[in-house]
Amino acid sequence: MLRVKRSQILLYLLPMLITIAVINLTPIGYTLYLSFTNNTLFNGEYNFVGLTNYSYWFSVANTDLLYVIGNTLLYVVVCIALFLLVGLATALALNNQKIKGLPFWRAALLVPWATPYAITSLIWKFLFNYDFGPINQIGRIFLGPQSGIPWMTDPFWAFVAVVIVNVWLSYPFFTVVILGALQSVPSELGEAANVDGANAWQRFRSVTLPLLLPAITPATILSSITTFQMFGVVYLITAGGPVTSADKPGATSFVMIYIYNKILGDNAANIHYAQIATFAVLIFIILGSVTFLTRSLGDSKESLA
Amino acid sequence: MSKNMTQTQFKQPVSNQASTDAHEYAKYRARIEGRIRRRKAVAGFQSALIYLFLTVMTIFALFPIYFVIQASLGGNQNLYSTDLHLLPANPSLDNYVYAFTQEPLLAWLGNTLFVCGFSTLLGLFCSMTGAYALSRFRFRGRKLSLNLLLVLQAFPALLAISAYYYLLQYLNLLDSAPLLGLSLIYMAGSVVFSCWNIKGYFDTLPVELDQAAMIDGATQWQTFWRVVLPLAAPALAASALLIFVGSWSEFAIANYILNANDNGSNLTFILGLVRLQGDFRTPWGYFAATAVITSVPLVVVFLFAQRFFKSGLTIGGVKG
Amino acid sequence: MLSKRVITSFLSLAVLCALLMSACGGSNDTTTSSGPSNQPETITIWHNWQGDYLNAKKAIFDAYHKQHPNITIKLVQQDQLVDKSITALKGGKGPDIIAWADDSLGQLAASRMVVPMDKYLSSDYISSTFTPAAAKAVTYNGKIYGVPETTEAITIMYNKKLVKTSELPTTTDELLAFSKNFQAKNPGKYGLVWDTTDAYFNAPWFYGFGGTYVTEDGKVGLNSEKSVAAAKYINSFRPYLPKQITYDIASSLFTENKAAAIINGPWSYSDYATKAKMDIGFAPLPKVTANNNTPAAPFVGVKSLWMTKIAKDPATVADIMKFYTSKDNQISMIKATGEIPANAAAAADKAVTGNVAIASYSEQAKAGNPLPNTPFMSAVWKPVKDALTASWSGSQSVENAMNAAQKAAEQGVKSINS
Repeated sequence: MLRVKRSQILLYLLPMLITIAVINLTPIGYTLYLSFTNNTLFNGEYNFVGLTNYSYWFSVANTDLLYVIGNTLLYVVVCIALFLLVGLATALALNNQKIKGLPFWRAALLVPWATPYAITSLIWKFLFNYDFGPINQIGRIFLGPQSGIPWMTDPFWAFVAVVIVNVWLSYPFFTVVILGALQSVPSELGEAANVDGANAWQRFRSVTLPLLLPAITPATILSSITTFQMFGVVYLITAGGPVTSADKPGATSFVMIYIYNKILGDNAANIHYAQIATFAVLIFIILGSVTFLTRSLGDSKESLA
Repeated sequence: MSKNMTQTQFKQPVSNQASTDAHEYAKYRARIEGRIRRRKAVAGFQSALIYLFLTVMTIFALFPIYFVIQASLGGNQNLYSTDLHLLPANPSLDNYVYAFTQEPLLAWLGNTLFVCGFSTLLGLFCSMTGAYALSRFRFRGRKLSLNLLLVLQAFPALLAISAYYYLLQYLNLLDSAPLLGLSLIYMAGSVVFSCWNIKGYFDTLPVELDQAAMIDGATQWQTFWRVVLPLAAPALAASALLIFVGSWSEFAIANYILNANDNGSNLTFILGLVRLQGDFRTPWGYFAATAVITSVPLVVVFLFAQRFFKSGLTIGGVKG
Repeated sequence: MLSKRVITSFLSLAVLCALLMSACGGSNDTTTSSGPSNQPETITIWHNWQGDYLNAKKAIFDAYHKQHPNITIKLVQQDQLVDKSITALKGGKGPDIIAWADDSLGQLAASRMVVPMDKYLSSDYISSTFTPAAAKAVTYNGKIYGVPETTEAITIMYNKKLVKTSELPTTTDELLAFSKNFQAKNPGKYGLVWDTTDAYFNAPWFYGFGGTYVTEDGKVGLNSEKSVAAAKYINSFRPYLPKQITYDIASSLFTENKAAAIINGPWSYSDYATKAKMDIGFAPLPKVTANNNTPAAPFVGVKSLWMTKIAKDPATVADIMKFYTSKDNQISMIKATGEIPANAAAAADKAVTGNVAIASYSEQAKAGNPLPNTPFMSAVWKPVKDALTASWSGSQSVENAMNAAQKAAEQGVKSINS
C-alpha cells in the first residue's frame, strides 16, 4: 500500500464526499425530518409527532403489504438471475476476438439501452396486447387463430411480461459492466490455463469469474435495489395490474407502484407527505441493512480466502 | 483431475524428449495433432453457437425497436395498426420532417448532451479520485465507508423528488442554471456505483506500478494521472458510459426541475417529447420519429466507447 | 480516523442544510407588494396547452400585452402540472395562474395553493358570463377561484362509410343490438368501440343509469343498484369487442375502418377528420332504456384558470382572466382550436353553432355533468377502473367487482379526510 499523508487521502476523497454530503444526504435528512411531522398537503403543518407515522405503517402492515413485498422480492430474484445470465453470456460472446463484426454486434445488443424507456415501455405494452399485439399475432400464424397468451390480463403472464421487459432494458447494463471487467482478465492467464488443458468451464470458473466478481457484486447489489424500487417501466406497462379485485393489489403491484396507487399520485388528493417520507425511511432502513449485511458477509469471506 | 492428467501427458514427452525414439515421437505428434484438430472442431462448433446466440439476442434486442421505426414511418399518428404489418404500409418521412422543422430537436439534444456530458465528466472525476484513495490508501473506516456508500443507494429517491427541488432552490440553481443543477443530481446518483466499479479495476492493477513511478520521481498526483488512469481506461469507459446513459432519458426528476420556455427549447429531449402528449392521445408518429433520432447519438457514443473494450492489451503489457 | 471525522462533519452539515431547506420550504412568505398597475410586472401562467391550441391562446395574451405594455405574460407549459405547481408553490415560487381541468380544483383549493377571487370576480359576473356547467366548475365550497375557459365532453363519432345516419341507435338497448348486428354482418369488425375500463369514458353510463361515483360530501355510490346496472350494461358488450381494449386500440380500429363508431372527445377529431381523412358524423350518446330514457351523461371537463397564493397583483390577474375569456377573444380562439367556449355568448355565436363538430360536442355537453371538482374524486378513478377491468377480464362478477371498488374508494375518501 502507498503511504501518504492523511491530508492527501482527504484531498482525493473530497470531491466525492462533498457531492454525497450535499446532494445525496440532504434529501435523506429532509425526508427523515418530514417523517417525524404530521405534514399533509391539506394541513400544511410541520408539527412534531414523534413516531406516530412509524406506528401507522406497522399497524397497516397487513396481508396486502406483505403480499406486495413478497411479490417484489420474487420479481427481484427472477430479474437479477436473468440479468446476470444474459449479461454474462452476451459479454463473453462480445469479448471473443474471433467473432467477426464485433462492432455491429456490440452496438446492436446495446440498443435497448439507447432508446428512452418512456417510449419503449409503451411499445412493449402494445406488443403484449392480447387481440392485436404483434407477439400474439405472429403466434397465431403458427398456432391457429384462437391461440394467444393473455399477457396483460392474466396475473402470471403479466408478471412474465414485466420480467421480459426489465431483462430487455437492463441486460445491456450488465453487459457493459462485465465487458469492462473482462478487460482486466489478462489473456495470458486464459492461455496459460488453456495450455494446462483446463476446459472452458474450468477456465471460466477458476480464472475469469474471480476477476469479474469485484465488478459484478456492486452491479448486482445496486440492480437489486433499483429493481426493488422499480416504478416507471412497470407502471407504464401494467399500472400494477392486472387487477383481480379493486380492493387488492394487482399481480405486478410492486412496492413503489403499490404506494403510488395507494397514497400518492392522482389517487390521493390529500397527499400525506409525512407518511410517504416515513415509508421511504423504512424502505431505506430495510434495503440499506440488507445491503450492509450482504457486503459485510462478503468482506469476511474475502478475508478468509 | 483432468487438469493433472493432461499435464502429465503433455510434460512427459517434453522432459524426456532427448531419449525418445522416433516412433514414440510420431505417436506423440499424432496425439497432439488430433487434439488440435479436435479443439479446432470444438472451436468451430463453439463459434457457430456464439453466432446463433448473438443472432437470437439481436432479434430480441431489436424486435421492439423495429416497431418504433415502423411507427415513425407511419402516416397517421396511431401507434398500432391492428393488422400485423411486418413492413410499414405507406411509409413516409413526414414525421421526421416534422421532428426537425417543428420541434427544437437540436436544442433538446444539445441540452441533453450538456446535462449528460457534464454529469459524466464531473461524476467520473469524483469517482476516480475517490476510487483511487479507496484502492491505494489504507485508513481507518475505509471498508466501512465503502459499504456505507452502497447503503446510500438504497434510499428511494423517487419518493423524495421534491427534496431535490428544494435543494436546488436553496443552492440558487433552480432559476439560474437548472440544467447544471440537474446534472449535479444525476452525477450524485451514479457516483457511488462508478466509484465501486473503478475501484474494483484499480485493485487488479499491481501497486508496485505506483511505487515504481514514485521512485522515478513522479508525484502522487502524476502517478495517479499519468500511470494508473491510462491503464484503467476500460473501467473508466464503462463507468462513463453508465453515467451518461443513466442520465440520458431520465424523466421524473428533470420534469420537476426544468420549466419550459415558449417553444420548449430549454428542455431535455425526453421532456420535450412527453410534452407532445395530450391528456389522452399520443402523437405516435412524431413520438417515434423523435425517439429514433435521439437514439442515434447514444449509439454513436457506444461505437466510440468500444475503442476502450479491447481485450488483454493493458495488463498483459504491464506484467510482462 | 480523519475521514470518519470528516464524514461526521459532513453529516451535520447535511442536517443543517435540511433544516434550512425545510424552513424555506415551509414558510408562507407572501409579502405583498401590490404596486400600482402601471409598474412593469410579469404574470406567469402554467398550462399544458399544446401545439395549435397554444398558438391561438398565446395570441390573446399577446394582445393583452399590447394594450398594457407594462404587463408581460409568461406562458410555461408543464407536464404533470398539478404536482409540479404544488411543489413550487410550497417553496414560494411558481405561477400566478394555473390553467388546468376543473377536477383538480378541490385539491388545490383545499391545500390553499389557489385562492378565492370573489373580491375581483363576483358570482353574478361568473354565472351571467359563462355556461352553467362551466360556472359551477370554478366554484368550490361557495367561492369563486377563477374563470372557465373551454369545456369538453365525449360523444359518439361515426364513420359515414360504414354506417348510415338512419342506422344509428338512439337508446342503450338499440346500441347493444347495433354492436351485435354490425359484427354479425361484418366479421372481424366492431360496431361501437371505446375504452371499456376507464372511469372517465364510462361515466356516461354510470350517471345515465342514475348512479354516481362520489358525492361532494364524500359518499361513494359504486355498489348502488344503479351503478351495478351500469357496470352490467358495459359488460354486456364483451362478446362484441376485443378482449383487451384500450384507448389506443379503440382509436386504431376506428381509423382503420374496422369500427363503425367510437366514443371520444374533441381532442381526437382532427386526427380522424384531417389526418386520417375520414368522413366523420356525430351522434349524441344514447338514452338509457333502463332509466326511463334518461340520456347517458358524460363528464364535462372544464378547462379553467385559477389564481395561486403567490400572485401579488390579484386585480391584474382578474383583468387578464376577464380579457382572455371575453366573447370576441373566445370566438377568435375557437376558430383555430375547435374547442367549446365556456363563454355563453360565444357559445351561442354563429362561429360555434355553424361548425358541426363544435356544435355537436357543445350539444352533448349540455346533457352532461360537470366533472366533479371535489377532492374525493381522486379516490374513485382507480377503483372504478380496477372494477371495470376485473369484470371485463372475467376474473370477478360485476357485483363483486363493484363491492370491492366501493370498499377501496371508501378507504381513499377516509384517507383524504384524515
